[in-house]
Amino acid sequence: MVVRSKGTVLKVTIATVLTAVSQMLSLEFSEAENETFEADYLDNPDAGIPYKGTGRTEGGELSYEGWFDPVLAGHQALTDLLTTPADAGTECQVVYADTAATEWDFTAAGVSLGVAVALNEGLKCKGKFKLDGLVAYPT
Amino acid sequence: MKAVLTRDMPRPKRQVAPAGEVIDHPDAWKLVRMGVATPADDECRERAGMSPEQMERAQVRYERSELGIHPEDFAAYDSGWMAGYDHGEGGEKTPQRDALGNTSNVWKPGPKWGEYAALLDARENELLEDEADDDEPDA
Repeated sequence: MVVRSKGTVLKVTIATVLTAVSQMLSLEFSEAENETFEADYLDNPDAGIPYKGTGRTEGGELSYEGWFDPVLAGHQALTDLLTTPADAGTECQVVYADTAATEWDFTAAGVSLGVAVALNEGLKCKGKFKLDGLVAYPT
Repeated sequence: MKAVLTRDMPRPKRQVAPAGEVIDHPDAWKLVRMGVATPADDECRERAGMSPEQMERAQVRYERSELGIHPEDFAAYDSGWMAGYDHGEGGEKTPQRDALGNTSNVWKPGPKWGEYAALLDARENELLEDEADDDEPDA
């Protein structure tokens, strides 16, 4: 079953409630990855290099790009996080456009935001949310 | 600083803040700017600095964000032509450009869908007439 991207929403906590950040064009979670280490040893008779998991998982980050509006409250919420980083992180959510409106909750340890101005383009912003831990994947 | 929510809002960890709840928070004014609350005290009203008309417009804009309306469909949503996206059960509809350049086949019809359908019919008829003119042999 194919789920379309259009209709997906990014939400960021402002004053204790999750509020939608508008004018996003793309969102991309980087690969979350189990941390592994090479577990080979001198008298290993096999040619294959063995690996083991450490039991930890790197959550990665969420990259975004959107049409930037400097006075839009949702975009100011992002710049506010730059001027006043949240010590405990910021609760965020991505809601997919599937029929169940699946929610992925995560805590952002920090954010980044850059703005691009180009003669033949609209004002754009792009940046990243660094995940603290993992997305609360539905199970 | 206090603001009153004008709609149910999600909170992290699957909690919900119901419409009418008073949010007492230093950032409560941002919720007014976002279009999800109205000021509940003078401090919030002054900080938000919005007229009732501006607040109303912000609430409409938030509705648009909450539905995940893509920026290219903002005008269609604001015109009442579409009310969101309907990819069909399982998301099997592929967005296709119509004669007016919109992906209206995945729109949920809005209150003024009829207006859009009439514009679309007119444009399709124009295109058919142009095609017919092109097919006529030169005198």
